[in-house]
Amino acid sequence: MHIRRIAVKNFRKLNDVEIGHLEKGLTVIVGENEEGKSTMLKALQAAFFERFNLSKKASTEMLPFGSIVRPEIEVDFEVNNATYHLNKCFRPSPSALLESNNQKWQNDAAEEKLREILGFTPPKQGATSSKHRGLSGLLWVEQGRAYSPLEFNPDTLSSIHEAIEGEIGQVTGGERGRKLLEAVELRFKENFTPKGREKQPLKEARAEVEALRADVHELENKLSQYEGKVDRLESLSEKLNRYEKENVLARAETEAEKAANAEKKLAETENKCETASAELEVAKKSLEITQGERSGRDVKIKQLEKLESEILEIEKLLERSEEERNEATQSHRLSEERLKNARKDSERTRREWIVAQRKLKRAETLSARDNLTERLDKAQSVQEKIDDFGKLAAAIPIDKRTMASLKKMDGDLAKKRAALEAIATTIEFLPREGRLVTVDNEVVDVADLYRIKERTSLDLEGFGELVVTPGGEDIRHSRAAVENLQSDLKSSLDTLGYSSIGEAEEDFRKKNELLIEIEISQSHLDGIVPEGLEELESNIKARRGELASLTVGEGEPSLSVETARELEERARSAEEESEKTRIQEERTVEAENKKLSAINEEWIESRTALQIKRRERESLEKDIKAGRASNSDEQLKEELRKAERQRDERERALNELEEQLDAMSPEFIRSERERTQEVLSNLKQQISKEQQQAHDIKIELRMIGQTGLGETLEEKRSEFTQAEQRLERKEKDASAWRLLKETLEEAERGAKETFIAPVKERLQPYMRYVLPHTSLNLNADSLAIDSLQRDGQEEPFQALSMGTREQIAVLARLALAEILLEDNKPVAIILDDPLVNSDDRRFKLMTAALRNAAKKMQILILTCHEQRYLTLGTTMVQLQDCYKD
Amino acid sequence: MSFTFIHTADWQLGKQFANIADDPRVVLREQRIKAVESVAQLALERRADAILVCGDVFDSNAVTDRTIRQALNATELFKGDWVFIPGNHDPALVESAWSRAQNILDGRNLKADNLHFLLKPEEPLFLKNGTLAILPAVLERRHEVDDLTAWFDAYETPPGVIRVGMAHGSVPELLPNSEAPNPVALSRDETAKLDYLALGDWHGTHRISERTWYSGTPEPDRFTSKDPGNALVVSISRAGAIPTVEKVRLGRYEWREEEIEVYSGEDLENLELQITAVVPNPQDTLLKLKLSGVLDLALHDRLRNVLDDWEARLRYLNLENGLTPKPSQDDLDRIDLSGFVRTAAERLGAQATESDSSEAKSAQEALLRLYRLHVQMGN
Repeated sequence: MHIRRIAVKNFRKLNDVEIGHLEKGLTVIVGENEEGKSTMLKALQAAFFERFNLSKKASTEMLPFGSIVRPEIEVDFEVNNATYHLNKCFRPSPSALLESNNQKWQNDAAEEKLREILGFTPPKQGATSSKHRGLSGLLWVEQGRAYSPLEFNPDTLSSIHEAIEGEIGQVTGGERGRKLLEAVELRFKENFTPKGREKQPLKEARAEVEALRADVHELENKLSQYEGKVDRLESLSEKLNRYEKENVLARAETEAEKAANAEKKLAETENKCETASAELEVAKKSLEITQGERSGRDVKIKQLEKLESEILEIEKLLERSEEERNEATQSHRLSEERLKNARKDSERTRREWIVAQRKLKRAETLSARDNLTERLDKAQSVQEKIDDFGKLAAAIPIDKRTMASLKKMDGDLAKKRAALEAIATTIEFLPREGRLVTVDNEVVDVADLYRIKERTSLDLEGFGELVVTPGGEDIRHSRAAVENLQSDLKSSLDTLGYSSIGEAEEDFRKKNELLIEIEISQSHLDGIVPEGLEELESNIKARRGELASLTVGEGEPSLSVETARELEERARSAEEESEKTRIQEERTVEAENKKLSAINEEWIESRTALQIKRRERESLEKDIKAGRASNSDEQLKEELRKAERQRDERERALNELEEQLDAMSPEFIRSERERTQEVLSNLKQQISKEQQQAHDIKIELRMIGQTGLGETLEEKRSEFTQAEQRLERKEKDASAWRLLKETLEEAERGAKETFIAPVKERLQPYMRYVLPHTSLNLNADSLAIDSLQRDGQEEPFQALSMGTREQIAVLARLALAEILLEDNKPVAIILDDPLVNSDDRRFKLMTAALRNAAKKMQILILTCHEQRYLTLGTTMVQLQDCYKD
Repeated sequence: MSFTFIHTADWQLGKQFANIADDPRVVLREQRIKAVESVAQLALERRADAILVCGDVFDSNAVTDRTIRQALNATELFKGDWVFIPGNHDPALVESAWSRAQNILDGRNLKADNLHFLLKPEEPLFLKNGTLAILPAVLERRHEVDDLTAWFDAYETPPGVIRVGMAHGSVPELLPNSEAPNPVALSRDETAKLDYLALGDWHGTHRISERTWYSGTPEPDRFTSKDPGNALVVSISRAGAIPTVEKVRLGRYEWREEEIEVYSGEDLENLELQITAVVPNPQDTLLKLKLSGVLDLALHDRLRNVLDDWEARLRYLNLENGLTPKPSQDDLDRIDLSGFVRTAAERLGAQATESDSSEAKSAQEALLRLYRLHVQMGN
């Protein structure tokens, strides 16, 4: 498409403008702000795309401000080598005329023809927007919209699809393909989640198979257990049958019986042995008795002999013992005598020592008593002094507090007096020589000032009486205060018995001195009797008592303590000495006592032993005599021989029997008997156990058998097989849908890539030039610019700078325009100040790209930045030169 | 004195049909009891002397008491002799379905003298006043290495007595793997001078010799058996005579297995015809359909409709779908001529045919879903 000329009248601010001779290629139309360059684009849009008979409301916008004239636009243009002249007028007198090669289309026909050649779909009513303007919707960019995303209306999209598919054939599936894919996805979703995980129906089918597999397994186990038991029963029955057939039990019984008989025989022999052994024992016993009798007699004879010699021995011993006893008795008597003397001595010295002790005690007590008494005398004299001082001090009535109170009163009185003095009337007498002044008959010393504090009558000699009354309340008051105080003080002093305060003070000082004296004496007293007087007195009393109890003989002189102590020590050592002697003598007597009694005991013992032995001898002699009388020594010898013979015979008989028993091997017979018994009992037990087992298993099997495990298992297997088949079918179905979906999606992705390839191919040289090492990601469905790929990073379109956005949006338009152009689509690009956000470097690159693109197509740039385009080296049209005036 | 009996085996009562969906499963289970009643009915109709049941009466020894009681109840219709031997599914263990059956009978007031459980080894049963000797091979465990019919050879019966053997096992000479358990010698009828040897274990009816037969199960229970669903009516006129054996169809449900390859629309039409041909009675048919081949998405979608129809018609359809969906240019164009959906469809198409991996299977499924969505969305 090539727009050759544009003439606009009464269109908004353009009242009469014409741009003629627009060339193919790049043209820059320069207009200052408010000069109407953007209105020029609006006028072109209106001419091509707005219906001439647009409603009043919609067309009002086209009118110049404040006037009702007819907007008229004329455009000369060329599409696919056909030239056209278009004249379109809007309300108030709308019309449309399109001419080409002597052909004319008027009004609606003109509109129809325009739609045909430009390929756009107008709105049903009202004004158009970019979506109604066909390719211009994409390629004509209004001011301030260059950086916005590309806008494709359906007509544009379909034109681009046509152009691309014209080049590479049909690759996308179209509406049918989309619906088919949707249907497949729907089936996919029945089986899988969006992430491709299996959904419930498949999971359930699998779970069912697993549950049934477990059931089958369990039943198989049960059946195999059942069959195991059947086998066990078989083997048990077989075994039991074999026992019966082979007479196993009867054989064992016979064997056991045989062994029992052998054992019985053995027991008989053993019995015989026992009898023989007992008889032997009897013989032995009898022999023993005879032997006993014989040896008994021999023993008695020996005993008698022994007794005789023992008796002799004892008799000798007794004789010797008698002598010893006499000696000891003599020595004992002497010792007792000595002891008696020693005891007497000891008693005497003790008594003497006690007397000496008493004397010592008395001497000590006397001395102590004298000390105490002396101390008491001293103390008593100090105490008396204290008492005297005390009495004196007590006689003085004044004390510290009273004194202080008196002093205060006296001070106050002095103050008050001074105050009275100060306010008293002062009279100075200046009498004539020798004249006297008397007050109350007392002569006043006139040399001094005289103060009158109350009404006073002065008798002035030679004058008469002068009565002065000092004035004012104050003096009266003050005087009364002084008088009160005086009277108080006086009454206090009177009470104490003083006539003046000085007297009181003197007395108070005396009292203080007395008190100090008392204190000193008291501390002196404390030094003498720290324990106190009472204590001291009672102490002395105690001593006296003690002395009273310590009386000594009449006329005995009192000894000094030292002398008494010496005497006492002497008496004590004498007592100790005699005590020692006494103890020694006592010990001697005791030892001799013991000795004597031992000799006595020995003598008695020997005496008793002698008597016993004599009696024993007597009885033994009698015994032996009696024995010989009944059985002589010869007879006894014969009996012994007989008994020995019998014992030997019986021993032989027993030996024979024992040999017989040994030959029988009793252990073997017994063990054989035990073995066969055990075998029999075990066998019986086993048979009975196995019979019981067989019986139990039979019952158990019968119980289980009723349930028909085999049938149940087969039934379960059938359920399992069918569930497995169902699952297999479901899985087959699901995997088929999955494969179909994946294959379709992959093919669709490939198709989109293929579809978008021609656009990328056109775009790439521009991108390389303006934004090297980048590429654009275009959406294959919407053709929108998704993102810019730069340094391996994908940057979303909306995140790019405005400058970059306007640049790549213009470049994408150029690429698309190239494809459309190649498919002979009516392509012309109009850009209203498209690069206002670009820096100088990019601006330059962009304008170079535009210049390059303009070799193939017409590009009109409307701008108010003339300077930026000056270096472009292309046609520049000044809008202001196009106004007709 | 002639002797007529019904030879049957492998009732497998209590079988659960684990791999079959719930609804048909219940019906199949009930039908097994009904099969016993059919056997009794047949015996009545043919005035048979006895019914010989050659093992695997119960699916296992661990069936429910209810199943055992149902079995005993079903025998009440025929008052003649019922002779049972155990099979490898219900061996005569000390405790087994048999011992439990005996207990149940003991607990009832009515005596069931006509029911003979032969559970002891090498113990013959004489019927018809001793004119008929039944020699049983009694399995006391699931698997025996020795031939339990061996004792028949040495066992003598008085002259004129009809000798009938009963066993449950396989004839090793007739199997690819000769070490099969519970073997029965091929020539036992001859060596033991048997008038008839009634065998159980194989679920299809099979003649071994003129005197030795497998009756098969009276009601089919698997897709693999050959000629199941019969009982045999056997008549022996006298000892030593060749028995007459008549196979009578008793089974209700047909278990069919079909393998079909599909590569084109034409194949798809043939498939419908083929199924129609082999399934005359869909309500009583269980069909195991193994599909293989390659189909484009449009045909695959059509096939789906056809199979859904058959599934609704049949008692049970077990589909083993080994078909590979391969998007054709038309399929892809139908989905989209260009654009990413077309790209995706082409990618899935490539993945779907790349290998046999689970990824390829997923891609196939994804493609089919894409196609179906396309169809649902219309143009």
